[in-house]
Amino acid sequence: MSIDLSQFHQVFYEESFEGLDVMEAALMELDLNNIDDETINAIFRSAHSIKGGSATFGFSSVSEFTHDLETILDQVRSGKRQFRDSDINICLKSVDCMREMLQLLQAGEDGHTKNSAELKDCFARMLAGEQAELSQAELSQAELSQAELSQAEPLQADLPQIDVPTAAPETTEALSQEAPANVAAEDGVESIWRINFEPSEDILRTGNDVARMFRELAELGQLLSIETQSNLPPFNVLDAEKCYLSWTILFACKKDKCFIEEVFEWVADESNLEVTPAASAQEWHICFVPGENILRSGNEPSRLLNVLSEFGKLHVRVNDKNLPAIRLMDHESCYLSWDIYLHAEQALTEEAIREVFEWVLDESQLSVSRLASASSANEITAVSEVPQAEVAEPADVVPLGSVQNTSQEQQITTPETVQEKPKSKTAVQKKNTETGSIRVGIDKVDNLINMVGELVITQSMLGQLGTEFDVERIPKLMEGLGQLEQNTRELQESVMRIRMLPISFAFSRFPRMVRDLGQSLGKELQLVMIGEQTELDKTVMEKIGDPLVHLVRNAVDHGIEQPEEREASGKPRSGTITLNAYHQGGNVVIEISDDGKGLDKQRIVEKALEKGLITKAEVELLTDEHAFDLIFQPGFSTAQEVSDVSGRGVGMDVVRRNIQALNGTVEINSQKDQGSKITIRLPLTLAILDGQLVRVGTNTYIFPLVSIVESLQYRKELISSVAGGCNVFKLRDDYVPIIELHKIFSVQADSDYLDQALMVVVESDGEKVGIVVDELLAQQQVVIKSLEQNYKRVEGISGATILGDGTVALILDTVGMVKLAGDKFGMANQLAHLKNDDHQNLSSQLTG
Amino acid sequence: MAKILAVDDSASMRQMVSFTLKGAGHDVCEASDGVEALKLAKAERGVDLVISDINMPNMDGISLIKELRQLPAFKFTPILMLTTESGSEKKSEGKAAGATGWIVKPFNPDQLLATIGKVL
Repeated sequence: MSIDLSQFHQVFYEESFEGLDVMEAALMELDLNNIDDETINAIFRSAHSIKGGSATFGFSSVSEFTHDLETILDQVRSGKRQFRDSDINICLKSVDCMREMLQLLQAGEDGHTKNSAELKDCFARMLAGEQAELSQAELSQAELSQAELSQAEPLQADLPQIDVPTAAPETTEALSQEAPANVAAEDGVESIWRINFEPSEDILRTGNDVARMFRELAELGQLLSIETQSNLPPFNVLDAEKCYLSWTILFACKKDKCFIEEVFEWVADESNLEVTPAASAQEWHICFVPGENILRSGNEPSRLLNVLSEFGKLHVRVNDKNLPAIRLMDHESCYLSWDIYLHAEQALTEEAIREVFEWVLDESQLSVSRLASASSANEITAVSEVPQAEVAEPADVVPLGSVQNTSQEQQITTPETVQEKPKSKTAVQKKNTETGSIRVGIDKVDNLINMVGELVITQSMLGQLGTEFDVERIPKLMEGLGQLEQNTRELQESVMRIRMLPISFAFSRFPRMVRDLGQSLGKELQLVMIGEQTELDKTVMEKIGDPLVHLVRNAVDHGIEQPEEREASGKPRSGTITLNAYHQGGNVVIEISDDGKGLDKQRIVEKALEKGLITKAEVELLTDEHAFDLIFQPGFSTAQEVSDVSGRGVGMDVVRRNIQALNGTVEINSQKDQGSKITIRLPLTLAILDGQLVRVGTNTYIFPLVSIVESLQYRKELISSVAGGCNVFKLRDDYVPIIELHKIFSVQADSDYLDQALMVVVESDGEKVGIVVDELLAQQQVVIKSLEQNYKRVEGISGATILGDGTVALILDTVGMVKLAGDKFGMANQLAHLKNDDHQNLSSQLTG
Repeated sequence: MAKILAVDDSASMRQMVSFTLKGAGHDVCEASDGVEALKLAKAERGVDLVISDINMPNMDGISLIKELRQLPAFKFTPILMLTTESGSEKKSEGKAAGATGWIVKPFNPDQLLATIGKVL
C-alpha cells in the first residue's frame, strides 16, 4: 500500500509554523531564574513535534537540525542543563532558522541554510559542554560551514523530496550488510529454532497477547510444535488476569534470529526468552521426490509418512509444482513431492529414516539431512541443495547469469524512477504554497452551515411557490423574497467573518522584535499590547504587517531614549511601547504609542528646509500637525546616523502609501518629551461595504453607510456664507461646512439651487461635513472593486462597484473628498477636467 | 477492519496515521491529546487498538495509558506508543504504564500497517 505523504505536507507546514510561534512566545516568557515546567515543556513539545513530523515526511534537513535542539531542550527540561540568556538567544535564532528552512522547503527548495549549519555547529558545542557563543560561531564558522554546505548539497538535494522516509531503504541496507554472515539463511535454507518463552505474569495487562505473537511467528516461518507448560497455581489463588503459562516452540524459518526476537520485542525485557538453534540430534529435514510410477508399485506415499510419524512429530509440505496440465495427466502417476520436517523424540540415524523409504529408494530422490543447528546451516545447504533446486523451484530454473543481469537492470532502473517522481512533486509543492489557508473557529463554520440550511429551506419554499403560482399568492412571494434577502445577507456576513482574524496574528511578532531591538540598541523596553482580539480582514492584516513593523522599529529607535537619558529626565529606565487596537465605526484603529522623547518640530522643520520640502515662507504657517506630517514625505529622515534599525528615510512615506492603499489613514501626534502616538485607521474589510446610494444628476455615487451621520432636507435659512467662498450649514448647535458634490466632480446636477437638494451629513476625520446630493436612493451592500487595479487611484474615490442594473457607481472616500473640496478653490477647473475624464474612462474600463 | 483510536497533538501525524489506517479499511477516531482521547475512549465502544503519541499537552501519552488501563474496557486492549525517542527510558516508562508496544518515529505508512498487524 503506497500513500502519497505529500498530501500531509501543507498541514505539517502550518502546524510547524504554529509550533514555532508557540516556541518563540514561550522562550520570551521564560524566566531564567525560575524556569516554569509547563513553559519549557511547551518549547520542547514544539521542537519535538516538528522533528517527528519532518522526519516522517522526509524533510531530513529540518529533522537533523531539530534533533540537536531537542536534545538540548530535553536536558534543560530534565534539569540537567543550566539555561542561560545566551542560550535563549540561540534558541530564538534557531526558531528563525527553522522558520526559514520550512519556508524554503515549502517553496520546494532544499531546506539547508547558512544559518542552520552554523547553529548546528553551535548545538554540537553546547552538547559537548562548551560555552557556546553564537557571535563567535558566526565569525569563525561562517566560511567553514559554507564549505560544508556546498559539499553536502549534492547529497542532500534528493533527500527532502523523497516522500517515503529513508527508514525503509535503510533496513534493507542493513540487512544486506548483515547478509554475508547469514548467507545460508538469506538463501532460503531453513533452520530450526527452539524458542523458550516464559512471559512475565503481567504480560496480558500490557495488552500483549501471546497468541498474536505466535501468529506473527507463523508468518515468518513454520511453527513445528508448540508445547505449553502450565504453572497454574491452586484455583483459590489464581488470578485470571495473569499469565501462568510458558511455551517451548520449535520453529523453522529462513530468517535470521533477530527477526524472531523482533516478534517478542515489546515484551522481551520482562520475559524470559531464549531463542536457540534447535541443536539436538532430533531435527531432520527429509526431501522426498518419488518416481512417477511409485503408485503402480503399490507404495502409497501417505503410508510412508505414517511410518515416519512413528519417529516423532512431522511437519509436511506438499509440493505440487510438477503437476502437469490435466489433459497430460495420468491419474496413475504420482506428480507430488514432499518436504518433511521430523522432530524425532529419540535419537535416530539417517539409515533408520532411509530404511522407511527402502522400497522406493531406487526410483525416487531422497535427501535426508540433520538440522544440527542454525550455525551449521552451511553444511545443510550442501545437502539440501539438490532437492531445493529441483523440487521447490523447477519452473524458475534459469541460468544464473541471466538472473543476475535482470536484477541488476532492475536496480539501475529503480533509482531513476525514484528521482523522476520528486521532480513532479516539487512542481506540485510550489503550486501549493501559493494557496494560503485560513484557520476558522468551529463556531463560525457551524453558523455558516446553519445559514445555508435556512437558505435551502427558503429556496425550496420559493420553488414550490413558483410551480403553482397565481396572482393571489404574491404576498407570499414577497415574504419569501424578503426571507431570501435576509438569508443572503446573513450568509454573506458569516462568510465575511471567516476572513476575519484577531489582530494578534499581526501583533505576535512584536514581543520578539522589541526584545531583539532592545538588546541590540542597549535600551530597556516594555511592550504593552491591548485589544489583541480585535478582528480584522485577513488581507488587510497581511498588508498592514510591514508598516506596523516599521512604525514599531521607529518608535524603539527614534522614540525611546537610552536608559540613562531617561533617568536624567525623570522617566522610568525602561521605555514603554504600547500597541492598541480597537473597532471604531466601520474601522479598525491601531495605535502605536511610545513614551519616548517625541518628535522634535524644530529638527523636522530644519530638515524639511534642507531637503527643499517646504519654503521659508511656509515655516511661519506650519502647525505642529503639518510639521509632523512632513515625516511622511519621501526622502525624509532626521536620524543623524543611519542605523541598522531605521533611519534610511525610505520608511515613513512607504508606510503611508501602504496604509492608503488599504483605504486607511495614518496620523501622528507627538508631544516633546512625552512621546508620540501614531494612529492608523483601516477599513474592516476590503471586499464589501454597506452603502448609501445617492444620485447627482445622472450619476450614482455611494457613501459608506458608516460614515453617514444623518441626511436631511436642505433649508436655505440655515445656510450662511463664510469667508473663503465656503458655505456652512447650521445643524442644531453646530456649523457644518457644505460640499457640493456636483461641483467637485464637475457633473451636472438637477438644479443649481441648493434648496431643492438633499444633504448628507458625513463624518470625516472627526469633523462633520454636509454633502449636497440630488436624491437619496437605496441602501445596499456593494461589492468593492478596486479602482487601482482596474484604473488608477483617484482622489476622493475609494473604489467602484457594479450595481444591479449593470452600471458602475463610484464609492466616495469622504476624507479624500473633503480634501479635494479644500483644494478645489485653488485649481478648480483643472481638477474638474481631470475628474470628468477619470469618470468616463473608468466607466468604460469597469464595464468593459 | 478494526476500530482504532489515534492520539497525537500534531495534526499532520494524526492525519497521516488516520489516513493510512482508514486506507487499510479500519475505523479510526482521532484525539489531539490525552484528555480528549480519554473522553473518547469512555464514549466509544469496542476500540480494538489505541495508538498514542507520548509528548502531548494537557495529558501526555504515559498518563493516558495509565488512565486507559484503569478502564475495564481497556484492560487488555493493545496500546501502542508513537515515540521518537529510541532511548529505552521512555519505552520502559511506557511499558510500566501498561503500553503494549511502540512504533518508533519516523515511520512510513507501510511500517505502521505492519506494526499494527502484530496486534490486531
